[in-house]
Amino acid sequence: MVEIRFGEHTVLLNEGESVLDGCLRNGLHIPHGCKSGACQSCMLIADEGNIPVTAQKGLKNTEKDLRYFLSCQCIPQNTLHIRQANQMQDIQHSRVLAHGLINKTVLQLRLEPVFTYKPGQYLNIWQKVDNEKTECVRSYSIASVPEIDDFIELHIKIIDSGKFSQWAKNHLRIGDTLQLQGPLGQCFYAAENPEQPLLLIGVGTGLAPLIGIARDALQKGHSGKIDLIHAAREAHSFYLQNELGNLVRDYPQFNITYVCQADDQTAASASPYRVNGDVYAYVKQHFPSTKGMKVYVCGAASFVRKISKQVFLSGASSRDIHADSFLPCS
Amino acid sequence: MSLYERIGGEPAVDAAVDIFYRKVLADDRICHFFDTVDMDKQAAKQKAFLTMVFGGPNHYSGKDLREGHKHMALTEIHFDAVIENLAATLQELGVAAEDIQEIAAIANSVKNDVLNR
Ligand code: HEM
Repeated sequence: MVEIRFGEHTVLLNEGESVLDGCLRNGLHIPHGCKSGACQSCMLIADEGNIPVTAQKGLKNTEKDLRYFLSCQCIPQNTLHIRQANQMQDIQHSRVLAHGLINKTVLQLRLEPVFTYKPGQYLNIWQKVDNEKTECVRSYSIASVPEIDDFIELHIKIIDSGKFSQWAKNHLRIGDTLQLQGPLGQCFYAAENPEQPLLLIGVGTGLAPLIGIARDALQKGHSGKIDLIHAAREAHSFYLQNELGNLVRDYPQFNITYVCQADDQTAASASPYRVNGDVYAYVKQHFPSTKGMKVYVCGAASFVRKISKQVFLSGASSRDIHADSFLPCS
Repeated sequence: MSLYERIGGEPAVDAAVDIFYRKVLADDRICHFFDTVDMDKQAAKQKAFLTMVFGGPNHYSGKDLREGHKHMALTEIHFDAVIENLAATLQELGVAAEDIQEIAAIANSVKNDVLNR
């Protein structure tokens, strides 16, 4: 009999029984739908043990990398240690290694790397602000690359009335400790082939995961074209332009375009890569067909929804669209 | 050979998902039901739907479908729109006319459940 460990529970599978059926028979609650491997609602994670190939059929590469599997299609040969796919990780303590504004509204934080991650994933920060009165939880995407950087880099957008961002800007100092939870999310580099064109589109601090994904792809030898489009309302909101310029210089396959959404003439003349106008129109004009591309989109939820739909309708497969949307918070 | 095998099984479903989903998103009668941030999850649901109407393996009962669609308060117009987009998708994939009819019949067999009547 094959044994399944699920938290403190142990389930013994009958001959030919799926992980889902075994767990349900033992009264464990697992969301499920079609029981045929199509709807993916019974997806779980196996931290240990061999996942049968059939249990990952139809999953994205990113999901396979994270050891997700479909419990209804999983008839394992050996013991598996499994958990819910959305279960929260433990809190880890990490010290602040660097802290500084990189433009008027973005705070760059570098933290001690206390867990392994894939660039583009995100983490949660749990922090008491207002003299310990309010506990905030905030999600930030990871801009660094573990193989290159010996820190975790985050870009914190400073919001005028933002509890956490104001606290981080005014009170957080190098050497302080933050409570982190992560890594989370599936917005990271996992191209099926190194020649597939990548299209990365981000607004504001949506640049953070994209710069991580671009550098990760380049260091993994991605040879296909990589087009990064960074949109912002005003010209002064662009940041890390030197770093991006260096990538353009070092890697012929890498391109950057800054799209300034306000009509700012000084912006257009300031940089050879910069254009004025609407990001949706820019993408439509310059990428009339997104067929065969892998697309990453990051920013506010309304932007992510609209641009995902646009690139899907212009040809990208739904499986090739990776999105990371930021929730509004105070 | 079963209907599902005849039209090409899972690879056929995979080929149909994006085509069908594009048509649905471009259809003003029904696109609002499908317009979510989570494109992946929607695509997986489309796959479940298509597998079912292609006569493929599934374990949905009429009750499941009733529960799953109740909150949308669907009408005949919405149902017809889905069937039209489905037929157009199948035509584009070169599925034979008799098979398209058989697929439409499977979809029609759960109409009362989907429309919650
Ligand atoms: C023709 C008969 C239909 C069948 C056999 C059918 C079948 C299904 C199935 C199997 C699912 C996946 C359920 C799950 O496992 O979560 C689903 C989801 C869904 N269906 Fe249908 N469906 C039908 C008609 C319609 C119509 C007419 C509409 C609206 C125009 C519709 C809108 C949806 C939506 C929006 C979802 C996703 C719900 C969610 O996100 O939870 N369906 N359908």
